[in-house]
Amino acid sequence: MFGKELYHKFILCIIFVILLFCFMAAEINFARAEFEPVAENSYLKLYINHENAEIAVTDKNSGNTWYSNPPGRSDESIARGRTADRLRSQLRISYFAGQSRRYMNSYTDSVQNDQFNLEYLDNGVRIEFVMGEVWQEHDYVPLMISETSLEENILNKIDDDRDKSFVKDLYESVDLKERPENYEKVEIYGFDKEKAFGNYTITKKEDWTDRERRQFLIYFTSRLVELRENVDSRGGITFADIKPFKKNPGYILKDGLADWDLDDFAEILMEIGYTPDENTTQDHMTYGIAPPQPGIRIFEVPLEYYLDGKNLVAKVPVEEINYPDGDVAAGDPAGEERITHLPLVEIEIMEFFGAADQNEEGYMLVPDGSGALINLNNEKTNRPSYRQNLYGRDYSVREREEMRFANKQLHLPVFGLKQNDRAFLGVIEKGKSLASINADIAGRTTTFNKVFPSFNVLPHAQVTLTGELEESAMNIYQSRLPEEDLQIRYHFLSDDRADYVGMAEAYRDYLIGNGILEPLPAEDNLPFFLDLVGSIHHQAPVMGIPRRKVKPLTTYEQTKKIVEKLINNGIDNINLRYRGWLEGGQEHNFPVNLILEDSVGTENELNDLYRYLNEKGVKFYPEIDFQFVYNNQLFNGFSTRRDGTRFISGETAFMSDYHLANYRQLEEEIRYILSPRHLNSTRSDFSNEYHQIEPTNLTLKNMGEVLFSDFRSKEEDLIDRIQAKRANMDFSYELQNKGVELLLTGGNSYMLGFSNKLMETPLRSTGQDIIDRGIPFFPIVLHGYYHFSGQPINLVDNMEDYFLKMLETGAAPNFRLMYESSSALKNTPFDDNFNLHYGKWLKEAEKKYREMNEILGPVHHKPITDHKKLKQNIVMTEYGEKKSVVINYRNTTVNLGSFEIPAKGYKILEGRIKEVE
Amino acid sequence: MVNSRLKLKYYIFSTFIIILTVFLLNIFSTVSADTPQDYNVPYNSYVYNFWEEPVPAPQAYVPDRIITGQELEIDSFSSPRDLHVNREKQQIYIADTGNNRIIIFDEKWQKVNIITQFNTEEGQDEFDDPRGIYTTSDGRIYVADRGNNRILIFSKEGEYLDKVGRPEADEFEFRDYRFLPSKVAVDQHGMMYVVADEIYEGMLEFDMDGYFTGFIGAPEVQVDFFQYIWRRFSPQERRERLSLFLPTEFSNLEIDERGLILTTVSGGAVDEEDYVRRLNPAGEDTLYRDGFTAPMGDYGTSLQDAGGEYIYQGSLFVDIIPRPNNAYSVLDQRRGRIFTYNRRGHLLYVFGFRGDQRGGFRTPRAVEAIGNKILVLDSRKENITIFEPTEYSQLIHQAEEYYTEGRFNRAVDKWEQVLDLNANYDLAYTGIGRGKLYQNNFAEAMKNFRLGQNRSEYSRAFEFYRHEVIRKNLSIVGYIFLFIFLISVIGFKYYSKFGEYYIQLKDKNRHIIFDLFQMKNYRIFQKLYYYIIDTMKSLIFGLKVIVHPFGGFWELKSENKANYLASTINLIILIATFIFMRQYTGFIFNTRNLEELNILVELASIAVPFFLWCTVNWALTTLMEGKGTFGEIYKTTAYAMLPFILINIPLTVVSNYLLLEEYMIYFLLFSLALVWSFVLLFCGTLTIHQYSLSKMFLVTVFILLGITIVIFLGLLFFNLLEQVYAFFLTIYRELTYRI
Repeated sequence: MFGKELYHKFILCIIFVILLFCFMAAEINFARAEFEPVAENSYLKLYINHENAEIAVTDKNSGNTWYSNPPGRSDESIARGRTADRLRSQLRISYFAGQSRRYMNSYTDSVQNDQFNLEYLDNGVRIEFVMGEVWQEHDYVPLMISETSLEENILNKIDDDRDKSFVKDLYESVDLKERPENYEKVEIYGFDKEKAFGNYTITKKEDWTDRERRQFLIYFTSRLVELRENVDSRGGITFADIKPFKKNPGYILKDGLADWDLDDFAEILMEIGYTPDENTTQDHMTYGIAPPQPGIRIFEVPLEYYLDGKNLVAKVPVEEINYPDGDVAAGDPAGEERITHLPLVEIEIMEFFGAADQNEEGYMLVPDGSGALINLNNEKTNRPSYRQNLYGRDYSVREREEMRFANKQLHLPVFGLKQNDRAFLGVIEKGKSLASINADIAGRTTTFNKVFPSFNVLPHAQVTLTGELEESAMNIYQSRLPEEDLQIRYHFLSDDRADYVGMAEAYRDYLIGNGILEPLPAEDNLPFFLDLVGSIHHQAPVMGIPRRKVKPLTTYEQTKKIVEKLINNGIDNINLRYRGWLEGGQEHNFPVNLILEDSVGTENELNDLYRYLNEKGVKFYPEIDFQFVYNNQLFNGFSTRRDGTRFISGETAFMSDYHLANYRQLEEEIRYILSPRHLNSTRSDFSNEYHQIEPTNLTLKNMGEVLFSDFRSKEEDLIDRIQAKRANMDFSYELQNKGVELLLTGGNSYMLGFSNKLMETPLRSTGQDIIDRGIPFFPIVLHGYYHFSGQPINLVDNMEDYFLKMLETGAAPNFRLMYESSSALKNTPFDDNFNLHYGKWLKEAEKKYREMNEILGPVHHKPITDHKKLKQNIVMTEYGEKKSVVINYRNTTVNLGSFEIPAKGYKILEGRIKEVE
Repeated sequence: MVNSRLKLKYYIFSTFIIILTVFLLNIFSTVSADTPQDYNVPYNSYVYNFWEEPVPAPQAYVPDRIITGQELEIDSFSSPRDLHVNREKQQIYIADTGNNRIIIFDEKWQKVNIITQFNTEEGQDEFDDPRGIYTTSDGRIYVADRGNNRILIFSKEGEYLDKVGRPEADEFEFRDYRFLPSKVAVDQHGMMYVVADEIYEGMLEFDMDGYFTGFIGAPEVQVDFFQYIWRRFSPQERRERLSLFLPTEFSNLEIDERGLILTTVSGGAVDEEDYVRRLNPAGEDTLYRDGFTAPMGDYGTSLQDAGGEYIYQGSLFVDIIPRPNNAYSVLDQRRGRIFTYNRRGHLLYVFGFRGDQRGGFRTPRAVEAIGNKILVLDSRKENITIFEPTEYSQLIHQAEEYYTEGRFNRAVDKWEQVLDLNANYDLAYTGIGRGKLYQNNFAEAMKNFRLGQNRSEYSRAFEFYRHEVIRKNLSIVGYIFLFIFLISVIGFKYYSKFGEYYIQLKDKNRHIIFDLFQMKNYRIFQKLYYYIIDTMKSLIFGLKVIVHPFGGFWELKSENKANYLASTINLIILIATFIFMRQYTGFIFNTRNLEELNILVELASIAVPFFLWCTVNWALTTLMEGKGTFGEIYKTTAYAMLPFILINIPLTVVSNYLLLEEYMIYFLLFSLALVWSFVLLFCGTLTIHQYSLSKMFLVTVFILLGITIVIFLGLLFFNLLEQVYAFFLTIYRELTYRI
């Protein structure tokens, strides 16, 4: 038998447990309590919170829910004030007021003021944020109000009697009555009572003293002068101005009220739903006085979310963005006085989407160089956070007086975050050429790790005007917003796909789905990239006067010799990039006409070389640069004023070299930049002549890695970065259409569809301090779909490591060579190519190629299916689920259980990873 | 069916294995994520060439590992200030200043000891702001405990031994001085050298027992003539107070293998040349400065800021370490670079950079070497970056070593390998040259020294070479000299006679040509003929002028013996000889870049002063009753320059056969031309204007003054023009921006 006490305890226990479950359930539900579903498809379900416009999306497959704003933000212990508010916002904009940069976010400046509007879309939701205070508190308070309005719209809606009397007390009644006979005039300076009041007079209460009346009249008239548009002074008041009071007896706000009283009043008005744009305006109109004006610092930015298959898409339609840009709004009575120019320069979208808190484990992916990971909570708060713009710097923005190193390029518009067993990958789809990738770790400003894109929608530059005594700076902006939307596509990954390889695969699939990547045909041999320097220019005296002279380094005949030797050494599948075949050498003259460089051979010799190479199965890609104008001469078809791009300041844009030691601009070597507008016409002029000679393919120097706008000040002449990107794409498309196969360098993502050969692709990260690990994200995306190579092997710092890196990433070998001896480049602008003489490298090239071809040859058209760090400095790459390469970067031999890898060596495993153990 | 089931099994099994593997591997890889091969090197390397321009060079050292406090499983560093490596014990000492502790690691970065508290005579004690650390070969540890105004000495086990406090010496007033030691070093005799803040007299020197013995190391004042005079007239006490040393702010010091003190200076009234010094115990600088410039880091780097003012942005040296073969590396805090110089002061390589990338620094404070790796301590980033040598720098050090050991063939081999990696490397040519010199292959040595722009060693090689050639061909050389001598004697004697004879001969035959002209009525040709004859006479007349200036110039004026064409030809030849000289002067004396010849500049550099002289001369002498016309002034000046024409070419030829030590000959010949020309110019001007000697002196002074004024006005004019241009540009820009 149970004892009674035990029984009680048992019941209590059960109750306790039930209660606990209830609380937990409540806790669980709490997070999603205000979220309502708005869209759903077979993969995802989208929720929105009507209160604060936050969204959440659930991946049905894995059950993971992703929030636009971290649900755990109530525990936030670092951020305060506006920074804490950012945890609740989805958009953050920055604008300029004069020289100072200001920020607004969608929570503090829109949601908190209840200034957003939700709208349902087919498969999602649209939120229109109006940021900035539209109505300030004093705008709510009607300065004059009719009796009926006060009664109906205000007093009747107030429940509290004390509030009622408080409100009543704020006003004085204004009543217009016929003047009694014994009326005594009150004289007020400059006020013509007869003209204004005629036969009427203002009464308030019976026992007015003259002094009181006089004071009231002064106050009343001055208010009228202040508020009515058509009255300049007391003398100007006519009966017409006073007349409305006869029809609608009303009230006027008392004189000298305390600010806090007005604030309280405004609060009451807000509570009862009395709005400035309707009620107050109406009240004011009754008496013909100026209605309250909405605030000027108003930014309207809509944000759309919708589901598209397995992805969530976030989009800002740029066309519908409104910012105070100096135009007078139609029908604004205040007109000219309210002109304001507050250019909206940058938009950050979903700063905290999927943000990971301090307890999560995982990393953030940034496309830095070949790709890099920032570990969550890595505690590097004393190092700067990550922020880099995509596709390199836009050198047209402003000339740069000092420059360190330009190797911080991002080629891919992706970012991602992995926390525990789930991850998301963001792909910037539209507006990417304006985008920057930002990432920061927990512990600096908030307790969250975040990675997000921002868009520089209005590029700007500061110009200084130097006077004799003072200097003043002003900002100049691009003349209009871009014409493309900002759009980000979020992929959700879970479990074993939730890592950087999964992210790379997701991005690769995305590119394949868009027809940008196509699988390589199955060939047996690894490609070999040969980069021959044909001729260069240098400064040398001609008849005692320094001139630009061209120095041949590898003629067409010598090219044949080098290629022949390589082929005889067993190197197959050669892609030959040849520099310096156009007049002027490697940095050739403006190529509007095809003029060959004579010092390396004649046109016949070139054709001959082409035929020879064709016969040998060597692909020939002579190099050309359409973007930079290296040697601008008179009448060369390029006019700096007409064809050059412009800085935002309106001056002709140029690029220059920089001093190695102090990073200052060197004025000797200046290159102008061909405006993207003229790319296509230059191309068609060139290619007409190009088709008359035999070679058919081209290497496009720089096209794959630099992107310049043309900031002409007229709106219709402006080529913004998005248009520039399109111009580059059109240009490549046209060339491709004419049957020209292209070889590109770098690899900006928008150019990937126009070729399947890349040189000088980054195989490493740039190593910003905040980064914890460089990964071959780019190679994983490309491998099997692209022939790509890294830096020339003979120019890297550590050949041994680089060779291993190539095995890790599947990059093809690349050698930059020339026929002349290496010292030929001494005292030329190309003296950073230390060691190019081919004789020294033939053997090495052969050895490296053989070694690599044996490993990568059979799998070079297969994608990379896995990549892992096994131990410190030991990595493994799996090619096409067929073959794995384990690489040891250490200086010591490593024993991995079943096998050993020598120092700086590798081990090939057939099959998948399981065999590693 | 079976097959697919097998597959399924296989799949499940492999998945299991994968998960297991990943799990296991994750355990391994939690420690650290430092993988150098995943990053690019963030900086470019360079060396300076003879013209002080930076030339790209391959990477000498690349960042290999970054070490932070967390990674070593001690608390993170807090603005650490000093790093020291004990070479015998292979231990690493860190002065973790912000945390007031000293940390000791072995070479594998295993923690050996952390000193935070210790027992002194007065009881338990702690550090306060320990800024410097040093150990002796027997392992004793010296700590500059700045906040407590003392140097602490510990045993190698970390036990407190002794302390050295504020120096108490009679000869110097330390009454108001707070002893703020920041760096300390001890030589093999136990002498302790201390760098302390707010002391400008040098480093403090303490003997083995901790007694202050004096200052060491402030550079001596080079007294020049005016200072000497000034000093003569100043009162006695003042003279003494203008002490013989310059105020110096030392930043760091280190004792090298030979017991010499390597120091860096970060401020004070010290020349850039003396930023790095190697002091012997007597305090004398024994550093070689044979490089293209003294070891001073970056040069030519004063920058113009927005306001148009130049700010000096040279290197700021904060630490120095000895390297093998008496080389040394210096750390520049301003740009975060490590410069390495060899024994003779040639720049070997530069690496490092300032920035927020892996391998970049924020505030680098200390540099150390362990084996062939280099460690750099950054007190802002609170980490230590370990740099690995590349093949390139290893080759350079090997070559240096072979050279010091006297194995020249091997050294040459190594230098050739270096050249394979970097064809821009001047020092490699010098290295090869030295090797060749020791092999007695003088011609090759000269060729290489020339490629390496090394003039002093070229001169040495040339000395041997010249000796050898003369010895071999003594007889031929003798004959050649005899021949030249005879020719010149005869030439000198007969040249003028020959000229006269030639003209007479022409005169004899003149009638024939004259008749020809008459016949055909070619009067222009006739005139031309006379003019040519006249010009030739004028040119020959020059030879008379230069030896008989007064008579010659008088004839020039009164008998119009020199025509314009001849004068102009003189001027052109003058310019031509200068260009010839610029291009063909012997390598030793010719420090200009032969590839950057610009005839227009050369022309202007002669013609502008020439015409300036003529114009100012004319302008002034017309006011001062000079009798000469502009044409006469022009002719006189042109003829006065004849000595240059006569001397430049022989001088250029001779310079190719002179050694650096024989520069006096070169100098003497050139001075001869200069003085001679000046005398001619003086006499000529005097004669054509018919001035008295004293008046001529006055006029000369006036003319020189006048030239100065013209130059000044010219500069003023251009400056004004520039400002007007800038003004209109600003207006234009403002208009375009605002509208």
